[in-house]
Amino acid sequence: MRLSDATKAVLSYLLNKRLFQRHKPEDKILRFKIRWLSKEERKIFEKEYACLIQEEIILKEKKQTGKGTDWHIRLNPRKLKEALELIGHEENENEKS
Amino acid sequence: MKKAEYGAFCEVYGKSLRNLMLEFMLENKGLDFSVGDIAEELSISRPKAYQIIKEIEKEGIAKKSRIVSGTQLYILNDKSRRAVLLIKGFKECLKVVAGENPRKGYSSHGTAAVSARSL
Repeated sequence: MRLSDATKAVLSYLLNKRLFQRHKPEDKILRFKIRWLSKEERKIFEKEYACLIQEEIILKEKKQTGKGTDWHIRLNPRKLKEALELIGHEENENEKS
Repeated sequence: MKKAEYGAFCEVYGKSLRNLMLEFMLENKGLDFSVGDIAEELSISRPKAYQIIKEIEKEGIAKKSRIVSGTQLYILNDKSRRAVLLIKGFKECLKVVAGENPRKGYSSHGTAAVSARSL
């Protein structure tokens, strides 16, 4: 499955910061990734993001915080290698070419 | 100002503001961003963010991409040899993180950080 840069950025962020042992508010993670995207790019990102949540690569949970309830996300620790493959897919192809 | 969060890349290559910014750019490879976004995301001051991005641009790792509503956006320069090396290094760091197996019921953040440092 080929992903857009914005979706790969979300996965890279979650993996790099080890957000499978803990979670973080969804708004804070997605805020800067989609800020400068065009409408079409944003639609593509939303579809891919929904797909990742459906496949349970990204887990989305409602958490109670001091400010109320927020949606938090984290990587599924059982699917880290799949997440890595999704990030590295295009790069592997570039290396081969 | 809240503290910056260091990822696996900074744990291996050193915890500095410059590496923090490089880590941000590597995570967001292919996406462009403004200096204000970087400063807010990394919890650093804007003048410092401008200073670092200028240095990185001089080295050819970052380049100016486009201007949106008067805001200059920057992007990682994929064609630069230094950036290619950094991308490879970042990929290896992610492989290390993905290879760690957190046990159920244990918060293994401490042990995970030690194993990345031991490289």
